[in-house]
Amino acid sequence: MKTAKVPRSRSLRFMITPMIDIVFLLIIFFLVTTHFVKSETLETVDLPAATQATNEEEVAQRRLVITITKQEQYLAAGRVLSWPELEGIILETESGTGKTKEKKEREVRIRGDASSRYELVKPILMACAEAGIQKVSFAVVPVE
Amino acid sequence: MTPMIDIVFLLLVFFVCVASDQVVEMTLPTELAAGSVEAKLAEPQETWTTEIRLRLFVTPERPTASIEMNGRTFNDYDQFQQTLSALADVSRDSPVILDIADEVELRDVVSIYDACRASEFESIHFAMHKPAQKKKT
Repeated sequence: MKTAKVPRSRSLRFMITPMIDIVFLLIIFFLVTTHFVKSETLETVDLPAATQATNEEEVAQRRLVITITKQEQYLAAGRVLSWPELEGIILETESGTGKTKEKKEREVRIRGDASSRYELVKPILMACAEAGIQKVSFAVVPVE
Repeated sequence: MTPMIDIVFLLLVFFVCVASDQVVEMTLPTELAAGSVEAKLAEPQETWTTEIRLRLFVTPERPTASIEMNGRTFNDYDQFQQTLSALADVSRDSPVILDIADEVELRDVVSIYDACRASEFESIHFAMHKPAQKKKT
């Protein structure tokens, strides 16, 4: 039986172009994914300005970012929440497994729209104090 | 080499466009009293200085919040800031109590808190009226 002969004279060349294509596609994929993971909860809001604004030095492992939109809605953990739901998250009454030591390591960041009323911020401060969360910060933009 | 350069430039354009849309967010930290809702003010001492009570409220006449410091109303923000700085120079350990009305906008709240921090007061407190139905634990 005759078999097809592969010409052996053709040397094998390492094709670098497809490899570069794939590597760059991977890079794009991971960069874009990371970007979306970071900004998942970052609803665009008009933040208030402050002169004493600082860059975040270190972020606590258990940080809760609460966004107050212009429509006066609470956004946290990627969804719109009612006040009882948000209070439950802050006070950790949903899981009921809040240990004092863990609570102290928690951090709450309030990203409130500049035009939102203090009425919406006040209960957050109250709940944080009640839950023993010391690190509460306001997201601001530097004064130009 | 050409496809690689193409892709690198595409990446560059993509990230430049994305970065230009982002607003730089910074932080204005607060230090809340932990463990209990009420924070005890320092015990009165011989060198006791009067507390500075700042009241923020909204009136129908003014679009921005009005500021009242120990009974004196300020219509000019710069004048208020100067007075606050002057008080801070006298005694930075005077407790500042922010009594803010519900209708005040967050920009005014942050602005006043920022002014207190800029004046380097040691203790800044948010006055709260505890709801009657809540049980103290």
